[in-house]
Amino acid sequence: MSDAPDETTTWPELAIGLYDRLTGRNAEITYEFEDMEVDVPSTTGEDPEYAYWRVDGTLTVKAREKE
Amino acid sequence: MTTTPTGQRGDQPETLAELLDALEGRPALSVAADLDVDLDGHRASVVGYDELVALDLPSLPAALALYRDRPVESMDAAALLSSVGLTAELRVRGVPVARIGDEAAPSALARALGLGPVELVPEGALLALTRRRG
Repeated sequence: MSDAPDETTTWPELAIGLYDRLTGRNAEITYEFEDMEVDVPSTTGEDPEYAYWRVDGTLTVKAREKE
Repeated sequence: MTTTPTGQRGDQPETLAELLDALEGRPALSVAADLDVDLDGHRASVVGYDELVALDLPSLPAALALYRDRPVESMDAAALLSSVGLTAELRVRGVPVARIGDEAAPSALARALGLGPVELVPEGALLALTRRRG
C-alpha cells in the first residue's frame, strides 16, 4: 500500500500521529471496542514486560479550542 | 501555524520532550468515553466528560497497585495531559481520590509522598477506605 505510514517505533510518534489525524482534519474519531485484549509493553526496547488490558465500550476524541 | 505531515519520518518526535514541543500551541482534546476495562486483573470503568476523564476502580489497594505499575511517570503524564487540556481523575467506587493534568492543583502532600504533580483528595481517600462496598 503506497500511502501506508511507516512503522511507529516510539510512544511519542504514535501519539503525534493520532493527534495529527484528529486535529489536521478537524475530525472526531470514535473507537468502539468489543472485548479487545491487548498486551501492553512497558517499553519499546528489547525484552519489555507486558501488562494485560481488556477494553470494552466506546471512546470518542475530538479537538477543541483551548480556553 | 505549521503542521507536521503524518507519516513522514525524520521530524517525528521520539521523546516526550519533543512531543510536548510539537503539541505547543495546538488545540486541546475533548474526550467522551464509556468503557469497561480490565487492567492487569483490576476491573475499572473509564468515563470521559470532555475535559475530564475519570478512571473508577473498585478499591484503594487496586488504585495503589495500578499506580505502582503505571506505564509512565506521573510527571510525564501530567505534562502530556496538560498539553492537550485534559485532566484525569482517579476514583474509588465513585469517590474522587486524586487528579492529574490540566485542572489538577498538585498537593504538597503528594509531592512529600513522592507522587509527583498529583492533586490528592484526602477526604475522598478516607471515604474510599471507610465506605462499605455496595
